[in-house]
Amino acid sequence: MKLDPVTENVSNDRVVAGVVTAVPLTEALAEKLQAELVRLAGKPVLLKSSVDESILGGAIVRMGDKVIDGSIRHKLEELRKRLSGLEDER
Amino acid sequence: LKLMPEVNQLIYSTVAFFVLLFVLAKYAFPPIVGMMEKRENTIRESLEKADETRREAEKLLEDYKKQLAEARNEAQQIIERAKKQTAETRKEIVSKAEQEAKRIIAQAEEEIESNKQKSFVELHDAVADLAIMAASKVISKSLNKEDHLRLVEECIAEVKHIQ
Repeated sequence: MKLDPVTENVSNDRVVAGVVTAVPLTEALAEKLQAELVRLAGKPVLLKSSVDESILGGAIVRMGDKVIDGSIRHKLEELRKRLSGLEDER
Repeated sequence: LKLMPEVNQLIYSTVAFFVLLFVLAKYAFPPIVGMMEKRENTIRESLEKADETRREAEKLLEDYKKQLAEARNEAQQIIERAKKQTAETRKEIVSKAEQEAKRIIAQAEEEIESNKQKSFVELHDAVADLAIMAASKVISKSLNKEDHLRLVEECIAEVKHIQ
């Protein structure tokens, strides 16, 4: 997967990114993530974090039109698809 | 007794006989002969005609017999043809019916197989849904804060690998 430097959601040369987690993000992790996103975007990033218990665990990171879904819910969903054999038949 | 006639009388009689003969030959015989010939001709013609009629009748009879035989033959042929055609039609109908039956059976089998497959997929999906639901509940209950943070860190590591 590749994340292109995003030009959408740009305001005043700043990229807006979002992260969703199942539990509140610690400051240390938030900073770590922001540093990575700045590296990717190549410009300042405004990171907005929110909590959604329904993702069960992990995190969903969005920047521009790119999404990295590292949530447990997503992994379970993929597992479900493989279990139902839908991917093989379609 | 005088048995023998007189010579004169004999001569007269003979002369008279020949004269009579001559007159008869001259005037009476030709019409008689003509009449007889005519009658003979008539009879012969009648016979010939009768013979001809008989031959014609025989020929007609022969013709009728021939025609009858032909008619019988033709009738037989028509019957044979009809029999043959009936047999063919019957065979065709049976063949068509068999094909139709085979088609229906094949279609039914296909439908059964399709339904089976569908049911299997649906069951599979239901089982998968159930399993995932159970897994979700177990996971949401069993993860502690450290586990959550570790998972988030793994996700950040994923971002880190993006070039």
